[in-house]
Amino acid sequence: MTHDLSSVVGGFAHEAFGSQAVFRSALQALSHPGRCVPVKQNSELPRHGHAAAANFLLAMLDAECTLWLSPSLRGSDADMWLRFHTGCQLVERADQAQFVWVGAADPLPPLHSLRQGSDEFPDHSATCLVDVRYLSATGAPEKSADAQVWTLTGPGIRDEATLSVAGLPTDFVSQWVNNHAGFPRGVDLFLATGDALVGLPRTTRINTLAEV
Amino acid sequence: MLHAFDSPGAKHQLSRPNWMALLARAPLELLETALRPFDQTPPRWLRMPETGLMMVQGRASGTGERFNLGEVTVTRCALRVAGAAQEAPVGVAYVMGRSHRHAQLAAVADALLQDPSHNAALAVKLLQPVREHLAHEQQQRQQRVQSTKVEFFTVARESGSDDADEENAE
Repeated sequence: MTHDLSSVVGGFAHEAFGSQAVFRSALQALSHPGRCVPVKQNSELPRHGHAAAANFLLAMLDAECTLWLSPSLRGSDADMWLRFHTGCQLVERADQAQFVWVGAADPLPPLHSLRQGSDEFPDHSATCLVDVRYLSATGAPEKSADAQVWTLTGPGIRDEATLSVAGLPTDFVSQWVNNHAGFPRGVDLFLATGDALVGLPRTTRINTLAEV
Repeated sequence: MLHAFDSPGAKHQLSRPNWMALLARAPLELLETALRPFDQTPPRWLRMPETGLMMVQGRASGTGERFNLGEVTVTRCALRVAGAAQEAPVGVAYVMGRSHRHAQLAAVADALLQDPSHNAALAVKLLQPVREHLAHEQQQRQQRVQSTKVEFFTVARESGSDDADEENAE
């Protein structure tokens, strides 16, 4: 653990308003799975990690929270920044963490290996933030090899929602099917780009379109 | 321990814990005067001054078991000096009491003292007067206390003679 503050930048310009605005965005994102919810920039940011995810964690974490960072974020200025401003505890293993942040360059840890909660306390599960390269709720896919187009159904979605995303592992949808099947246990997920969040609560079903 | 922080010591260069301890106990007027040139524009805050409680622990006679002495009010903040580079040294202050201004100025001084171009000048302009002030204060306190000094030797002798009288009476 280093205590070198030289890379740390400021947090929310106004702590209460800043974190409440982000909390509102996160609430919107989980209430309407698949919708791209903009996250207003109201803090200085570390160089590593996507801004929406950084803002989310800055708003959510406190000294009692455990956080796991993927290899590209661990030891970076984002690591120091979150620990300085929130006092959160970093843990070595992803399965011990309440919050998991996976950088865009890093592999996603298997969802079933994260904290699932229990049938009595499903809220003791992990919340997972995944930095992705591209998100679009209109369904227009990015032209790249790992782009995926999904239709989403479940609570919070009237009929179905479309989401295209790039930067997730190819077996993500099958992992998600298992995560959904474990209800009420399972993890909740946020996909994050530079300026927006998409919420994927464990209740959401993902169907892939046959042809992308 | 108090003594170690206040005396200039053999090394010319003060270490950071030393000057932070000095700044935390410096009178506000000295900080205001010495830091006026650096205090024209507001600093870049990392953590605005905030006041909270900290548990102070002590050891009986300095060596015994550790026990909780009580809580003290502490104000802390962290900042970069206005106009400094993006990765300039961060000034941090933990100051007893609830003066946000004191915490801010102590943090500004801490940031400047980490900068080699300001260190020497500020050590003369700020730290030396603070050290003198604290030494003066301590001297005054010692003088005040001196007047209440009790000669236990005399008391012991008197009580000894009392015992002798009682024995004689019996």
